Amino acid sequence: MKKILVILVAMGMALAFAGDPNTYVEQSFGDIDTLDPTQAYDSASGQVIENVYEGLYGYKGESITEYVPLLATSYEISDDGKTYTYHLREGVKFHSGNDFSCKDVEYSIQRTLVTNPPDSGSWILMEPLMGTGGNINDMVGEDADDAAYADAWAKVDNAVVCLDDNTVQFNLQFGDPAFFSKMLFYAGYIVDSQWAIENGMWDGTEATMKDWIGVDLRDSYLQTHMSGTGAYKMLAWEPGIQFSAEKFDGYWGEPAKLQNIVLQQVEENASRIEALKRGDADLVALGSGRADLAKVQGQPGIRITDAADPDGPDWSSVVVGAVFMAQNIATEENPYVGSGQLDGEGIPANFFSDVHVRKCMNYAFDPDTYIEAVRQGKGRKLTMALPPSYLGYDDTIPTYSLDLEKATEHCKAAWGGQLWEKGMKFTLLYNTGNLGRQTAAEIVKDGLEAINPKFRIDVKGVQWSDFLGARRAKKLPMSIVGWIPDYADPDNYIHTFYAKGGYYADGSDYSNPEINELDQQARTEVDPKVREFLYSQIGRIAYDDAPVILLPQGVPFRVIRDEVKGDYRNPMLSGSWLWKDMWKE
Amino acid sequence: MLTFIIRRLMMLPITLIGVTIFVILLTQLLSPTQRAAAYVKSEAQLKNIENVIEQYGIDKPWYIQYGNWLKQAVQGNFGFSKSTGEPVLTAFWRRFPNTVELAILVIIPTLLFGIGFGVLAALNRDSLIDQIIRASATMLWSLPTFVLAIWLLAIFYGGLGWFGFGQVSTAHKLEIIKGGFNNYTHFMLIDSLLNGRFDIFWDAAGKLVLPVVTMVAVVSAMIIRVMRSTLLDVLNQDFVRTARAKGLESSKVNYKHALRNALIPIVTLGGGLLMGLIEGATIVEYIFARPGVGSLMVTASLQLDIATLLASATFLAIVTVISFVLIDVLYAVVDPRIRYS
Amino acid sequence: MSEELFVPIKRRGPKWWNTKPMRRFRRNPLGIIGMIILALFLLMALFAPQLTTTQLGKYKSNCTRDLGISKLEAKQILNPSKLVFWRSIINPPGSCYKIPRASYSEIPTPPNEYSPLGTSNGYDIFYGLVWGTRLALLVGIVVTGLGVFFGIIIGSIAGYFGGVIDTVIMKIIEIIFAIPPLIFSMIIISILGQSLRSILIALSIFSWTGYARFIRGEILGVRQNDFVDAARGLGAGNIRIMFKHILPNVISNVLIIASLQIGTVVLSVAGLSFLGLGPAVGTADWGQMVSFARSWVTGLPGQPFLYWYVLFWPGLTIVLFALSWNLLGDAIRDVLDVRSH
Repeated sequence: MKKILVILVAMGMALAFAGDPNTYVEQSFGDIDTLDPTQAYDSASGQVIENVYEGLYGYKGESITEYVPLLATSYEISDDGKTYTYHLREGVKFHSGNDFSCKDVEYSIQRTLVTNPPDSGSWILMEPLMGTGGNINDMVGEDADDAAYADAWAKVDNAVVCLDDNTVQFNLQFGDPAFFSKMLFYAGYIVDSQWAIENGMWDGTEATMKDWIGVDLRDSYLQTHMSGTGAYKMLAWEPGIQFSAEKFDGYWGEPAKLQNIVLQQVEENASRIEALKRGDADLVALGSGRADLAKVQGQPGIRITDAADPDGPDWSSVVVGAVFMAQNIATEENPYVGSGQLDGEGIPANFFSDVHVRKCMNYAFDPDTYIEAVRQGKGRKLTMALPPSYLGYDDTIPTYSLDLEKATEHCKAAWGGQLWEKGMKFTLLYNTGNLGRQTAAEIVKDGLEAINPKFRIDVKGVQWSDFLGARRAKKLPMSIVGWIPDYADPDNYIHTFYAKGGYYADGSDYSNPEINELDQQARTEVDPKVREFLYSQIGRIAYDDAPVILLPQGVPFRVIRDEVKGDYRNPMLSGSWLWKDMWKE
Repeated sequence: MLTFIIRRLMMLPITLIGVTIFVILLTQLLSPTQRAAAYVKSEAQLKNIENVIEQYGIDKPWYIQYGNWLKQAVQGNFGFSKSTGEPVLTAFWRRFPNTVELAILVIIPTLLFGIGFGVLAALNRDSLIDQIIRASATMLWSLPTFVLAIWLLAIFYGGLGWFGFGQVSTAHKLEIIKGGFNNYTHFMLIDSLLNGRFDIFWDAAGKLVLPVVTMVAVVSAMIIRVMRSTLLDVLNQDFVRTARAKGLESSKVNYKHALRNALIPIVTLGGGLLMGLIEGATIVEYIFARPGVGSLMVTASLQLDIATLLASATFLAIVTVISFVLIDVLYAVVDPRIRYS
Repeated sequence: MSEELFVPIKRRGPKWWNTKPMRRFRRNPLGIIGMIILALFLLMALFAPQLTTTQLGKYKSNCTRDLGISKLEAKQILNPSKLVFWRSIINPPGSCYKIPRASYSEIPTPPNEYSPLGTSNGYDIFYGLVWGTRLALLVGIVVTGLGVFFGIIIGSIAGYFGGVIDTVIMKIIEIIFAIPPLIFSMIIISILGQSLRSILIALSIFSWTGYARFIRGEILGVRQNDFVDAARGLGAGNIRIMFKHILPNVISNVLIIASLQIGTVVLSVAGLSFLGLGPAVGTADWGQMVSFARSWVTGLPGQPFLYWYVLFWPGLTIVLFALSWNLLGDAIRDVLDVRSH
């Protein structure tokens, strides 16, 4: 009898554990890539890193333009914008127990410059501090001798200098107005140098520098271990399964309120939603986005915050999606361009270089259907490839809407009338698993095919690996891309999308001399008012030049258990808010 | 018999090499860029794809890549799993116990239900019982596993709050992580008892109920069909008729002779059963968030994580060969006519 | 014996209808039901274009464009005097196998004037099921056909010659078996790309192994049977023995297994669709339609069966398909069993 009672009690306890007030549980799909701030370049990893490690400054609450001092207490910028001096906080401890001081900042940033792993975001700091985005081996070249490496080391050494234990100075290669925000990226977070060196990471000296250039940091200690200054310290990471963190009692600032944080990987959407309804998870990733809202609306214990609500918060998305039109397609052995000629059975390599074609595409695209379908009716059209909350966004710039007459007009004018007469045929690829992109592709196709029966577009979904292959080989006539910010500066978008040297612009061989000039100016201009004007100009020219079709953004919303309080939304944070700011009631 | 077993097991390395070479050759059908896709997960990372290809030697000829892999593998280093972010072997050991636990708990009820209902149907051929059993079995078998899984989850967990998914509750998981719990065998059911934690045992057992029920339902449906059909075959065979003619009681003839012979195809089916289990486990693991070998392989396939695929192929080859040996042994036990020279 | 005992029985109908096997078949009502259902499926597949002219005329699809007519003229497909009628049946363009888009919305809509069964994920369910029949039959028959063909040949060779040849063949089978078919299919499809062709390749690689193994086993067992020795004793040649004595015994079982397999190959495709490796999204494939249901099987809070049609119709179709092949298989066995004795 007693035994049965014990079992029953145990059962009861097990059941009652749903919704532990001391633990925050989040369920999502998608894996953490790495725990090393220098290696990380995805938001799953970023979410963990930004809570366990800290940078010199951080974002203030929901703002992306206001900052709070974290490991630094103040800073100065020289007049030419090439020297940044930060005064560091005293009395800070790492999770390992070691004390924080300038040497940790020096080590952390120099490690970023030296290793600059190939698929990381370290290039963001590499550019301003070393003058190039590539790693040191690329910098010195193939047959570099020791002298060249010595020079490189001198640059590294000089880029970050400790004036004393509590003052660090950064010497940039050019006056970069975005440097401060770039330092808020993961690669700028401060790592426990003593602990890292003791555990086999680079020892911080010139002697061993060569061994670490361009290495994949996923093979080393910091991949799976963390020692930072953040309000939470790592408990355990079972890759693909769960990450757990615990409140750090020795935190320099106001201690966190929740004892435990658990991030679980649950691949099945239906399971996640059940857990949310049961209270076993506080926040879950909704696989179908807005379409899943109906499943949780009105459920007890769940709070839905929707920017689309008239009384909702003023949140805006920082994702910029666009359909790119390649202006120099590789037509050899390319199944996606048909015949490769303007003969009605295909498109030639330079098909999209005619602005009339691009404008025709823009007028044939129906943003309202897109918003209806992909954004469940809540979407926002963009005037330029820049999030509305960013400096330089100009909402007075016109946008394209569905206008079949204008589309016809431009397509008739394209290529001296030949396009209209002969017709065109090509394939639009999207990578499978992405419903939004699939729908965008289909809408493009529908619009074009509606104006001329000789326009034939096939829409095809391919796997990521195939998609990559085709992208790299420049075989994609049109590709749908999405960009989320690395750092909170308009340069991260404008340069990428519109300017020569920008990743997407180069990928489509798009180059507009006017834009290029304005972009260069804006990159080095220190006065924000001037920059704002310059970017707005770029936006206007881009409207006329129509290098891309801008996709309407989604309107953010949040679904979370009601017991959670103190969460907010900062679009620059991978996890939207910092764990240390929340609590449960 | 013993020599037979030993000789079969000695062929194991050949199978392993055969399997792994097959996998590597398959991946050679992809271009280096596509193989690099495992390392490049986002737009931003695409920029550096050249470096990635160079660094991982992705564009080297297949025999060099294979040679490198083999050299490391025999030393126990199966490389790094890109899709999970840790060494392959570690990823395996984290997941292997889950799958085994599930498989063991599923096999016995499946065989019981499968053989039991199958026999029942065969013995009452063409009667109402037979029709009902056959219809239900076909429907269960045709019902996609995930549908049953999601329904059960929604009804019992979503609706009633029982069971749930995962391995143990979050709170227990944290307790285990923070210490004081010894992972003797890595099998939660056993370890929880060894640690004297009945509450964790109960928790873990509860989380196994829905996945096990789902799998048993679907797999036993298959066994029922086959059992019935082969038993019917056997019941019609000459020697049974002879036995009956000789006057043996009906029941004796049924169970003793017929069953023994009907078990032969079941034994053959054993191999298929194993595969069915692993496949069913894959889907069940996915839905109930129980990381297992199945889900590891799904992710590795989808992301073309070659290191993990090779290791998984090796592991499964070992399991399969051993089970085939067992099956052949059982074959000989059940059917004395088969001699092994 | 008096002559009165040999009264000829008058039978009606054509001669073949009255042969013994057919008479047995007719006495098996379930088998007849199976045949009828299959016949209906065949008709549905054959006249797919005609059945779906409403959807072709109303929704977004390139099928009419590629057939050379405009959407408004879709009704022409119904007219046997028009070329389009025949072309759509015999060799419809690939785009006709893509389900037309009723809308882009993910949320299902209930049955209405143009979508008699409703839509899921914006795709018309009726169209998907009707055209999906073609795919199901194609995949089932090709995979099973190839499997039986190669399985018999390879299995016979292995079982008959024994020795080294047998060992080598069994090794190859083991190598293929060493990774569960689902996983292996995943790998193959990941590499070859998602398309019908790669699915056919992936599934066919496995289908022959089962038959080969089975046949080889039967041959091994029968080889040692008395009557074979007796036949040899009488001087019968080896091949003659195989064809005359062994194969007929075996073929009936093969036919039964094959009929089962055709019905269940479609389930494997469904499993692949679930994991995202099935045919391209939007292809008229039953498995895919079932996997669309995964988000909607639990409906909305308080209305669990709101989206019942998303799962019900594709599910029913698959079950009926599998069931009818099962029944057919059982009926065939009943017929052949008695015949072989």
